[in-house]
Amino acid sequence: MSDLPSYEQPEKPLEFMPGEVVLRVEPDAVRGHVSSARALRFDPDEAEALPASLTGPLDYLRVNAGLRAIRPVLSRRRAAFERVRAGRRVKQRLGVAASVIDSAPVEGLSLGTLPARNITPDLLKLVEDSPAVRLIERVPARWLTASPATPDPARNLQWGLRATGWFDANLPDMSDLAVGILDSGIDTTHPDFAGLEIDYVHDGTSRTDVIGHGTHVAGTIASAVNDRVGTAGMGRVRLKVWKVFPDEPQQGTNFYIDPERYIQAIHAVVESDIKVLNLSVAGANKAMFEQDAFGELRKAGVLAVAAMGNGFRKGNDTMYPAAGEGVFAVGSLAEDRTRSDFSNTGPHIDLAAPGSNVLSTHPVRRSKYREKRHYAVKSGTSMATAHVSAAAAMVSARHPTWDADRIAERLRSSAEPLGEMGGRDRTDEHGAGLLNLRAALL
Amino acid sequence: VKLHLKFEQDSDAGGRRAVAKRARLLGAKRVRPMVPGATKPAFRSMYVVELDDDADSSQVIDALNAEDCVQSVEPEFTRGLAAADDA
Repeated sequence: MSDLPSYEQPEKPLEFMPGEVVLRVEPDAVRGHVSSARALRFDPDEAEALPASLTGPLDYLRVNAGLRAIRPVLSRRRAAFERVRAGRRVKQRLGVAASVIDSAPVEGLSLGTLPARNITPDLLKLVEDSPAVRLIERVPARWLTASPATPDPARNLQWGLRATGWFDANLPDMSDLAVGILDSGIDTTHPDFAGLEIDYVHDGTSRTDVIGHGTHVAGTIASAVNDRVGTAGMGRVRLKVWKVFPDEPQQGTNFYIDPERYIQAIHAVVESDIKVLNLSVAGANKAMFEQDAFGELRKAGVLAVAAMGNGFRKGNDTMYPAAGEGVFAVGSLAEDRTRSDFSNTGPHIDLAAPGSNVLSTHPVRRSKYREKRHYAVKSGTSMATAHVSAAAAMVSARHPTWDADRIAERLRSSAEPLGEMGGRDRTDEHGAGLLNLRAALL
Repeated sequence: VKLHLKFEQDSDAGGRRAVAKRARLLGAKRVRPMVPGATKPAFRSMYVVELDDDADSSQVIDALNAEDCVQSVEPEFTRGLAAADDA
């Protein structure tokens, strides 16, 4: 059983704190009876100097109701009072005295502790009848009013969810649907993937996602929602992940796809029940093999969603597979809904989605090729692509009979125009505009 | 160095064997299927040509592209990750 505090409102909340009473005495019943009005010495003589109208109720509470202690909770001399060594009778009287002398802003207030069963209305009335007692009452119970822990503690940091209307969208059940990811792998042990059905193929390489890129992409698509862990993926969907990158970089710190594993994975996708394939990868040269493989994907009814590339400031080359026939190409937006400054442009772009500073899952285990563990913020058209792949899967779940072309058209036609588009229906910078999940799922 | 060799999908085994033999004569160490056990004809016609270190890849590409049953021969393509550094 967890020892963590619960912020939930109790099912049957306590009305009063057990065994606690608030006692407020008339200040004049203390002043003028102790030797100094400014500084108590906590001397037994001071206890004996108090009037019977005050000591009588205190003694009655102690003898007949088992009063254990009086705590002058607002006294400036509280620490000194706590150090007093005296019997209950004397100390309780000194406590009441301290609640008046050197107390502010409410004079005469103290808390009393006694067995809960002894606190009865008759007892309270009897004590309150004394002219030296202004009031005595049970302490009302109060509890924390924070809401329960958020379903996914970090989801408020996932600006992409808000920008795409995820919070307001009528999200479909995607549990029967599979999304394919060809990437650097996935950390299937990540707590935010708990309970997720993941088929992971990493033939010829280690199981580890040494780069973390694939784990990040997978988290944007499908990290568990409402699990009180980390981030929220866009939807719960089966994942089929192929690791198509090697464990070591080929050129400096640059990782490149293993073309054979890549083509083999596409063949496996064609043979599978995958409806949407996420390709957060890019390269400048057109390749016949890749084109032919993607032709087979189209025949199989798979919607391939690919990244436009991040080389806008490095020549803005046309990137593949995004520029390939029938591939749904995704550019990146920043938090202010302008094109991310790295995001490639071109006539083949279909849509834009959040890609700058995207928070998502990262592998738990250490790797020399990445710094962050558990969660990380990454930027790229890769991240934008993951948002769109998840959205495509949702549209497919909402309309199971729709083919890839119709799903793609729904994503484009429901897009939100952006200020940078200047009123045009589409631009080479943004495609049809910002992914609008709310409208796409109407 | 590796090349990607795509046969015409309707090419027969004899024609493919002849092309592989030609490739070896030009300096290929090995010619093998890209997707072993592929079910779809498009993938069954994809091959990898592994060249010797001293082979002239341009010559091999030109020579094999001239063969009737070859659809295309290309250098291995490259694809990288489309994410920038961690913020």
